[in-house]
Amino acid sequence: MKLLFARYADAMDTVSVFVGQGCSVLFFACIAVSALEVVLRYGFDAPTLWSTELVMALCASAWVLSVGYVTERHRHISITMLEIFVGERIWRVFRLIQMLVATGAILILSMALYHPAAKVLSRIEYSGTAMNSMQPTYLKILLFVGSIFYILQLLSNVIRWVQRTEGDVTGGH
Amino acid sequence: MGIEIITLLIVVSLLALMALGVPLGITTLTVSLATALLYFGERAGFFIVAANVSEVLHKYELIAVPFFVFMANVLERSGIAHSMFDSMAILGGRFRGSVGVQTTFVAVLLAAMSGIMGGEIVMLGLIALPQMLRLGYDRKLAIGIICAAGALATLIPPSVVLIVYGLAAQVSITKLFAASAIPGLILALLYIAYILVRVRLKPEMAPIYDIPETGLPFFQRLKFLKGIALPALLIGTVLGVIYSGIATVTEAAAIGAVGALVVAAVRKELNWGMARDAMRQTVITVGSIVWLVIGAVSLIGIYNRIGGGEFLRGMLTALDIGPIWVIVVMMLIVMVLGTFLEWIAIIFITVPIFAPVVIDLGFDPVWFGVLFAMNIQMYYLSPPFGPACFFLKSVAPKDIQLQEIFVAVLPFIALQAVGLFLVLFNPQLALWLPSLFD
Repeated sequence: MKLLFARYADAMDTVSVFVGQGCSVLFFACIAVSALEVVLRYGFDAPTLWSTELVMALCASAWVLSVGYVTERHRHISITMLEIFVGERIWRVFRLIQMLVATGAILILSMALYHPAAKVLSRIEYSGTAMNSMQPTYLKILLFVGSIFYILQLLSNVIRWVQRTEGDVTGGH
Repeated sequence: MGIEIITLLIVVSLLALMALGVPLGITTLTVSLATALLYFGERAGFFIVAANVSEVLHKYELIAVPFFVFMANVLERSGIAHSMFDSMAILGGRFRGSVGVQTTFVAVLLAAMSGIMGGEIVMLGLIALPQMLRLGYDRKLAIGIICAAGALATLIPPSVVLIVYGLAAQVSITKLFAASAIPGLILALLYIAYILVRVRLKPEMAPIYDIPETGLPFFQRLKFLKGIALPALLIGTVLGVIYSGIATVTEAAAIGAVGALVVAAVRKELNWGMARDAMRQTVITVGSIVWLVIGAVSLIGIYNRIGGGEFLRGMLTALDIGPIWVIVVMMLIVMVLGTFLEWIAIIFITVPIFAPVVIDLGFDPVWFGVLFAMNIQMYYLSPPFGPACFFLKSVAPKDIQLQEIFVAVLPFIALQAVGLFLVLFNPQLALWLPSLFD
């Protein structure tokens, strides 16, 4: 069982790092599309209908899906001043509490996001712009998927905490 | 239960979770979820939270943040700060305190290039601090200059703080950028004046910097302008496309990011490894910021819905003091929040409550945005959590302790307060430049 959990943590960490690093390419694509739009608009008098919505969708994907990477690297922003006062052993317990609080909060958030995501799947929502893309549908599903991804990575972090196989934990949970 | 008690419970819960080290985004999200469920029940509570959280991904202007973060990461790795510093040292000439003054100039240029504070302090800490220490500058003076000048990025356009404020207060980011330029330069001039006065009174604080090129006549030194030509071009491009109406702030940020890559390529420092590291660092930075925004937006959405915003606005407008002092009270609240909250959370929590009060009192929210950014700048330096001090500590020589950094920044915090009060009581310092664009 212990080995199974360890394998889950290894696999989850690998997936989070892979997706996170993939997100960096999405940001780069956003930059390229935004700059291209300016060139097309003012250089060729050919503004696009799709650039704004595409950039928003790509950027939102990178924002939401990078959560696994950020959590795996313990880089969420938190105040860790108390560590100096309570000592290493108690702070270790605090870190478990941090992860459990986060898991609980994101689990409830996922429950809240589930209904809108399920609803748009059964009845697609469109942006209502000139392009009229499915962006609202995509963003609602994306948020739900991102929350589940966050929980899965938190579980991996909890396993590493229990098995004492964590790396650098100077940042947030 | 009255809104007063709920407000108190929210504050206590936030403090307790933060003290436990729970990430700030999760802290605000947890409290907002608990408030929503307790106040509205599961069905309505879930609906409100989902609506508030989804709203974050629809904020187009927020996309400028990762672009500017990427731009700063590229510039940080391109060595451009080093060239700027060398050029400024030669162009500035030979006088007492010259390196301190040049560091401030470089900081202003770096701020105008990226709008991100952390990277700027790291760059200055790696380049200017060792130089000043090697030349025998007073340690506290050198440390204070780096932290204070580095923090100018929060105010000088294109500041990311102002972008987020503009989003939260729903005011023109372009106007905010224009409004913050003069106050930013005033602060830089205050720092320069302070450096020159201190070294004049106590010459041993800053021995004269002596390199052969500084002895050349000024026009011969002009050839060293090339070190600042590219940064100036980049600044001109980003701000130029915004104010000529060619591009939105988000598109200008994208052009800036592409420009940063071009600058790195021209300097023959662009390679796959560098670009990859800059992109990965951008993901880490932005990925943590977005959860702060989600938590803060969720909390303020719920709090407003239960009447909290109205309650706090009522409290502020009922204060038996002049309107300008109500603004001072708001600034004090921001300062207090700054001792334990991240700036982006402070903006999303306080600005939706403060901005309507500012307008009701007859003030301009653009001017308030500048004050807000100046206040955030003070929080960046202030103990015990001043992020600027921690950024510098991460790159400073080992013998420089955090306590020494906190002491060193105190005179500069006082100068920031002077600047803040100047703009507070002379709104035209902020509002004159944007009025030209009307």
